Amino acid sequence: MVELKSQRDLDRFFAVSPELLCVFSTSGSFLRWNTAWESTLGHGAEEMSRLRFLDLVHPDDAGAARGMLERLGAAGADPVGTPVRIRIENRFRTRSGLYVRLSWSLLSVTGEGLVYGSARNVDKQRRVERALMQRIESKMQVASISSHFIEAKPEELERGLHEALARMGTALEADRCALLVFAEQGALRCEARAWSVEGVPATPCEAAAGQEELSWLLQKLRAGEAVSVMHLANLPAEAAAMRALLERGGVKSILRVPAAYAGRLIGAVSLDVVRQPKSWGEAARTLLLAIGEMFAMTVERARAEDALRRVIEQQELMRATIEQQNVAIQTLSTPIIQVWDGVLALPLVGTIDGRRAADIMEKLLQRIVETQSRFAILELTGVEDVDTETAHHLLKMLRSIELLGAQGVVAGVRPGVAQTLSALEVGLSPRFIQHDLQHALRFCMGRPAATAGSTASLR
Amino acid sequence: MKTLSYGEITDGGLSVFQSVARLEDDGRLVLSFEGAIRIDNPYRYLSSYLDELARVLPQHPITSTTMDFVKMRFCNSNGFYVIMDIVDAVYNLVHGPVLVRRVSDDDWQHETLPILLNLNEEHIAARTTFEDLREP
Repeated sequence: MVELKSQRDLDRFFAVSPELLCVFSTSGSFLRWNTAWESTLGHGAEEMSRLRFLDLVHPDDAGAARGMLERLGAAGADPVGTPVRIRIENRFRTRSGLYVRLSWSLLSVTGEGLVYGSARNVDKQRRVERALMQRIESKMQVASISSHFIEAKPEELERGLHEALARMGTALEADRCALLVFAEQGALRCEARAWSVEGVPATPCEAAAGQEELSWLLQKLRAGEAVSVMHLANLPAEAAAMRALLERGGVKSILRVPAAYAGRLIGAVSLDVVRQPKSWGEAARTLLLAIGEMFAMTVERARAEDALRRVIEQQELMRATIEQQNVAIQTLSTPIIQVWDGVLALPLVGTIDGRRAADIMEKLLQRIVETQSRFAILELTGVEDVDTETAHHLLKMLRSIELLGAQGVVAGVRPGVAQTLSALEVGLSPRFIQHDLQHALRFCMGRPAATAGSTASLR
Repeated sequence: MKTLSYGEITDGGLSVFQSVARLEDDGRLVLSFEGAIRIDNPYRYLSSYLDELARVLPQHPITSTTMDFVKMRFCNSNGFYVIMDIVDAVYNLVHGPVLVRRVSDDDWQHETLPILLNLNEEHIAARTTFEDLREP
């Protein structure tokens, strides 16, 4: 009873297992198998009874599978040896002709000539692992290449770009690797930064190209398309001008990928070979696309920094100009003229506020001392009006002139100025107010030197 | 045009991913993928869609297939298994060429899709062509 129950349990486990279970002879003929074979590979019972183990193995994996079967067969034929257990992974053909990756655990019992096998479908798991590993590797490659230039200082940028191009060109086995930057300034132009292997000109053909030769490529890049051509003869008829350009440059194969950032195309990352024709796969295209985006971002950043630097320089220039103009205006606003020996004249024009009055006073007093002048004529013909505060400033100026031992003379007072001055409690002595500059000069020249400053002008 | 099957993933009540299998009048199967798969167990939402695909695909005289990933923005590693189940069902159950539409500058679609499609298999690679389009 125990034996029967054990057999029944075994059959049930055999039937329910999602893994592919089987027993086959050391010659590879299947003797028993479970339903997972049909659900996983699609092979029915009739087919399985005709098939041998090696019939289902992928041709590329057949050599290893054959060796494994020989080892298992040798163990099965040996009546005194120890059981052999083997783990192996290979691809098995499905009924539709596609292959599924199986991970096997196999056991050959000595002297029986039978192999017990359990296989798990690891096809999707391996594909996911490969996909994730490829993502990780490509991200690391992008990070490694872009580290040469992504945070480079402006003065180190060109060197960084060149190193990145060299890394890419070497990794992708190109003869030349370049960053092409397009600009339309009247006509389409291409500026290039490039690396090449020894003996190959570093400058890509596009750098010397004209509008006609570049337009097809630019159209493709603007559409977000890469151009990958192993043989130039495969370029379309519309690209005839570009093809001729590349042929003149001795190029055999090309790959051009857009370099764009935030939807703005700046140019392309290019690979050329000039020795043997070459085809670059999806991985190269993806790498160039990612690096192209980094290049575009860096070029845009450099352009923005350059523009900002120019704005700052312009602002500095403007600030310097404004300062020079301020000095000139200040000089012009206080034009102190020595009109005669010992006589200074200061024609005032425009508004005189407190700051300007202080400035005028400082310069005038200094000039009086320098020239040892006896008279300073304040010529007010150009001053239409003054407010009370300004009038006080004028009076203060006259008082200061007297303290230096000179005499202040006011000339050319206009009606508006006269009204304000007359309203002040402290007035001007009429002797030192002259009708105009001519009268003021005559007044000064008519007075002996000893009298200057000796008479109080304010009362 | 006839809709053969429809699968959807919702997250917090919002639809985040949809896949539709349509049969066009000219016998072309169009499988569209739209949105993003970010959840841990997409099978919870899509197992009935996969079962339905496996059931209905052999029933129709399909001449060619278009798989459109242009509106699929992201897929995590759990989603890779679902995508592989769908594309494997197509390659196993449907005859004829397969056109894969993808975004021209999306690196995950360029790097990962060929692996999920199992293009290492010559039979599959021979049936498959890509159309690279700009992101809508």
